[in-house]
Amino acid sequence: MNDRQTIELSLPSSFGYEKVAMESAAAVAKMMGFTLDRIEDLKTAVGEACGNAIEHGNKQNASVKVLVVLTVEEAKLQIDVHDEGGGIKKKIKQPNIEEKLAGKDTTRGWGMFLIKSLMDEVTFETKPGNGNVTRMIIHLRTS
Amino acid sequence: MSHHMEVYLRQIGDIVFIDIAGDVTAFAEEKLTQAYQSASEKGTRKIVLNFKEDAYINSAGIAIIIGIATESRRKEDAVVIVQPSKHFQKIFSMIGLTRYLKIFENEREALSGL
Repeated sequence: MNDRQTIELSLPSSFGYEKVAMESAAAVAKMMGFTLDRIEDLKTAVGEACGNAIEHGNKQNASVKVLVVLTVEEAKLQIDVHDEGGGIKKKIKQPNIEEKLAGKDTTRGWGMFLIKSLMDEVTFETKPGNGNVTRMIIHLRTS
Repeated sequence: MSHHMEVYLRQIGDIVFIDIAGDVTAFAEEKLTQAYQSASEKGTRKIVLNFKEDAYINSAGIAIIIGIATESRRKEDAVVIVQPSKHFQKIFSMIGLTRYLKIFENEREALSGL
């Protein structure tokens, strides 16, 4: 796989379909030669990004699509998850397990933390009137 | 789209196992929290959340586990996790859950550790 190639998935915004994106990303990563550990990291990150797009971006409206674009390059895999949401109006708080265990914060809110912790590069972009994109990049390490 | 998940309770001595089959996502909340309540009501105060190696746990599932951990602190139940998947052992460590709940790789270690 030397040329830059893209694979696109158009998913209904209904929970469960994120698994299609997860398994597709895993299949591509396996073809590229990623280790099993990194493939598991990728699956979790893609699942979380798609889950966010389904729930927060597209409000679980099954008729609205989550677009997942996998871009394959020689030494990296880029995954862009597009939704049609209006963006995030408040800053995402770093989750703190002590606060959650003490009942001072919702137990939820781990999605972005996991994405950022598991992927090599993560950006989140909101385009006014044109949805959100979560971009994740995972680099193929030779060692 | 099916979100199949089942929980089964069983007891070995004074340890109650909550065997979890299927995906641990937001759809698992009612069954899993109810299972914990039932386990806690047995009064042994030793409870194992027993995950299968191929379990899919997303961030909503993690939130449910943290909710159970919170409740267990209040009730003074000792809750531990059996998690054979190295990936999810790593995830639990990353979020800090391992500082509060012991994680074992298999049932035998959990029985020894409780």
